[in-house]
Amino acid sequence: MHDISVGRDILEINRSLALRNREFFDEKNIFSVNIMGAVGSGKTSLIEILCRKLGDFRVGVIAGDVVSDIDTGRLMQMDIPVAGINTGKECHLDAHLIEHALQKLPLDEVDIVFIENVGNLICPVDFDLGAHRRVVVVSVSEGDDTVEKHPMIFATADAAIINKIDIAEAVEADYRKMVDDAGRINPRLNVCPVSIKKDSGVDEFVRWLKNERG
Amino acid sequence: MHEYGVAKDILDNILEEARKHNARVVKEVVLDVGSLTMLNPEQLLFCLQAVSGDTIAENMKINLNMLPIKIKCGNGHVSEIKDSMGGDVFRFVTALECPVCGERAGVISGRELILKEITAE
Ligand SMILES: Nc1nc2c(ncn2[C@@H]2O[C@H](COP(=O)(O)OP(=O)(O)OP(=O)(O)O)[C@@H](O)[C@H]2O)c(=O)[nH]1
Ligand SMILES: [Mg+2]
Ligand SMILES: [Zn+2]
Repeated sequence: MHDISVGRDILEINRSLALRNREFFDEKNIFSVNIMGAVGSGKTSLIEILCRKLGDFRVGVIAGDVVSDIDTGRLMQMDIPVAGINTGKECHLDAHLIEHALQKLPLDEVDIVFIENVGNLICPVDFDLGAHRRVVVVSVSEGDDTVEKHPMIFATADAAIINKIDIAEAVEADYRKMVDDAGRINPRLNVCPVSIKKDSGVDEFVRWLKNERG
Repeated sequence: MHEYGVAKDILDNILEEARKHNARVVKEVVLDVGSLTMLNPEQLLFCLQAVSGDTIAENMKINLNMLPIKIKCGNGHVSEIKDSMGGDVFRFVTALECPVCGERAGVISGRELILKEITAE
């Protein structure tokens, strides 16, 4: 009979891989952003509009699609390098998947990498990818209680996008409540109410992003 | 739901340790799960039982303990956030305020998943 004392943090395995990704980004002088958020909230749309607005930067994308390559195809039309990851039944990206995807990008030709995480407000919280900033995207169509129902993702993010405010009235959602909830959960969070479709409020976020990149 | 993937990682670690110690059967394991992880203990238990089928860990007893959330503020106060606070646990932790002095605080434990101990023969 053996009593084997292990004391190993299983989630730490991902964290140390994430740290390695971070060092890799730093070595290559690439600013990386993990874009998390609800299904259909506008993650791909955000990356598309950012590509247009960040004209002075060379953008690359890692796109996590569950089974399809629809988002990957959409982003490729932007004429930027895109590495698609099929996550299969996984509900989140992890640092290991990012490490692989990075090999598919021409890293000497990009300044910023956006990582579109799987549409999910719960699971990505436990899995750091090594990106410099974490952004969470939700929209009014998920209901204005979405933010308060998922505090952990807002607590661990650096910025929150409250999207689709153009249709807030139509879906009877109070987007200001969502903004307030996010700020209360995490006072350090940069909260941006936007309509990506109408290109309203997005410039604020772009300013923040450029500033964070330093 | 990522308990399945996490369970596979736990099992890999159990089997690796067992191999190192030339064990033939894994009898029992102890896991400490941080209350701030997004892991659901029942699902984790279920998945771990499922993935360990047909391995030397097939019939292991799984002891799963929830680890409390601890936060520490700028003035050095360490406080444990009790689960009995229900749904407010998250809100309290995420507001990151020291319950003693109100100073800004950070999480120091609660986000881990520790494979603590294995009993094998
Ligand atoms: N009304 C409105 N619709 C928007 C806005 N932004 C995005 N959409 C629409 O919302 C839908 C989903 O947008 P996507 O960018 O594909 O969302 P996503 O988060 O990438 O979706 P998944 O990757 O499938 O989780 C599309 O039909 C967009 O045109 C907005 O500001 N207002
Ligand atoms: Mg998308
Ligand atoms: Zn204090």
